[in-house]
Amino acid sequence: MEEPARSEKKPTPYWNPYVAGVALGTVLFTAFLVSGSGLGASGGVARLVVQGLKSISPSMVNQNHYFAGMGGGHANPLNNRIVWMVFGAMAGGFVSGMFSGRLKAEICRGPQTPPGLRLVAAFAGGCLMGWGAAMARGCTSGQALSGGAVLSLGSWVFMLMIFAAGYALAYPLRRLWI
Amino acid sequence: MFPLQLSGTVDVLTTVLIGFAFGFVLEKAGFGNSRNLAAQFYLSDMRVLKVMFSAIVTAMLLIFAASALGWVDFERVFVPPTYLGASLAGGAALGVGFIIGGYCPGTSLVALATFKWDGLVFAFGVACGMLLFGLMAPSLMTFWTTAGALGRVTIFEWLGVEAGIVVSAVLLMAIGAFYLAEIAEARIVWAKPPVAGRPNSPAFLRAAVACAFAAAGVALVWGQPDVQRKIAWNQAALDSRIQSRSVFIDPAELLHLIHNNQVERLLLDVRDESDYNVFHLKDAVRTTIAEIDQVWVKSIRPEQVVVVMSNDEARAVEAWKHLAVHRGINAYVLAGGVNRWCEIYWAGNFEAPGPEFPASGDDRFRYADAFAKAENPASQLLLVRFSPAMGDRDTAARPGTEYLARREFQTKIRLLRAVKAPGGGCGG
Repeated sequence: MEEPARSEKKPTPYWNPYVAGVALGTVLFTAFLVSGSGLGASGGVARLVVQGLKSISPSMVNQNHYFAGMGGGHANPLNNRIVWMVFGAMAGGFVSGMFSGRLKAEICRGPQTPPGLRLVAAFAGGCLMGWGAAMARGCTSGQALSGGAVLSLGSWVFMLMIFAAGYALAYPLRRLWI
Repeated sequence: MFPLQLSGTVDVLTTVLIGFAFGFVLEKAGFGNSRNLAAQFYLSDMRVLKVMFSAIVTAMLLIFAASALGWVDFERVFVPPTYLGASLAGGAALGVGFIIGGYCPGTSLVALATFKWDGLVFAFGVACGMLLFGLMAPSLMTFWTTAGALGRVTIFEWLGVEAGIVVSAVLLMAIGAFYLAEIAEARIVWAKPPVAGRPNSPAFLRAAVACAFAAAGVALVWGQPDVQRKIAWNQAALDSRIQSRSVFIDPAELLHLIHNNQVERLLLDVRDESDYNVFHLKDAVRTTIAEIDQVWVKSIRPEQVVVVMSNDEARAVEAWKHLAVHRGINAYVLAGGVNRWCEIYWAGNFEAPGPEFPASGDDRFRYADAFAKAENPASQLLLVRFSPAMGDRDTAARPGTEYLARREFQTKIRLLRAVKAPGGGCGG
């Protein structure tokens, strides 16, 4: 019996979204139980940025209100739970991808989108996301999921705004995805 | 009582494990692929809404039911502070970034972990966007820190209703949204991602909804714990702080605090109105324990140092407990109360006992007659009605700076937040 080659293995189906949601909610609840705070992601990226800046120019970090809060002076920007969580998340994503047959080097894009355009859009979208996450002090994981679960007023405003803005631009940008 | 207070390696390990589970579930849900995520905005695949709202509602129900039952101390749960301006601006940027880029920071990390090039490029973009924000920080700082800044506030606190009501409303809203999502997915066919998820299992959905209503019911019926319950849970910790006298500050330390222009202070006087009108410290506000629960705890900020005082200590300690169960409140008790204050700064006995010595009185104001006589020895008739403004006429209400060196003390006050030196400091 021939074993199919790795690249020909059909990926396993995704979990049912409600099942995945309840599972994610349970992980989120566990995070609260264990630490008092929820999940997050953008903070980890921010701290990596601060660490990178600090190794080039510590004074730039110290004199900047935004960066200093994360790693000014003697503080180590990477010594923070959000950083450990981000590394754990990448490991978890990798392992799940591995067992599900979804470890495939590719560019996910809409059927009519050339790869180059997709990458430019990914970078542009990422910049907007990064700026917005810094502004909002969190992203969909930290603010919308975690802040939403504890009914923080600002988090819900943030979450509704994300959906509103996304839907508003969906039709004009449909060539990217449909 | 949850949340736990982990530290050190255990803390790091549990955080990594939780992160692992987080990333694992995201990938299993299909969130490592931008096509799945973007499809949300074309209504043909609603998994983002289903996963996010199921997750939020699951965690919300578990937290608030557990809090109602006394298993989780909601005071120690992190509620991201509300900055409405920043939320609107950031949310708009994120929404646009989502539809253009197809990921959010967390999902882009999962995507790059599964070798997606667009995920890697997106994550790099996130880093650049954050750098850009930092470079723009000086001009954005005022907006970022003050626009619509309401502090730690939940929807139910903002509306002034019971938490259980909002919890139930959110649950009903989510169920309604899921119902509409199912209809949308059946009717709208463009932008369907290539790989579907597992189909819905009616048995699972029925069980989930039943549990959800049960949890919402618990939250509604039991309700969030009131102050008396919180004091009861924290009994041991509060009592040990009281026994060790670590929360009692010397009158001399209070005098230093009064003359310190860099620290925000709030002096709460919980004595009877009659005592307060005869004599009170100059900036002390008269209040009651009920008023503390209903009004003060909502407005006190962590930067403020709060000092509670009564004639001796009994009533001040009780009031202090009502403040101390709140995480963002830095409160102390004036050792020996107003009686000892007057003994030092009115009667001139600078060798009065230090804060290690509890007050031995019955919480009556022992200097009432002395003040009354000093005020107007001739006419006792004027003593019938005192206005509060007369209560701080005596110099003992605010001893001058020349008194600062007359008595030594051990510093007990610790600031919860570092004080920013005016003009200068890191980044001004």
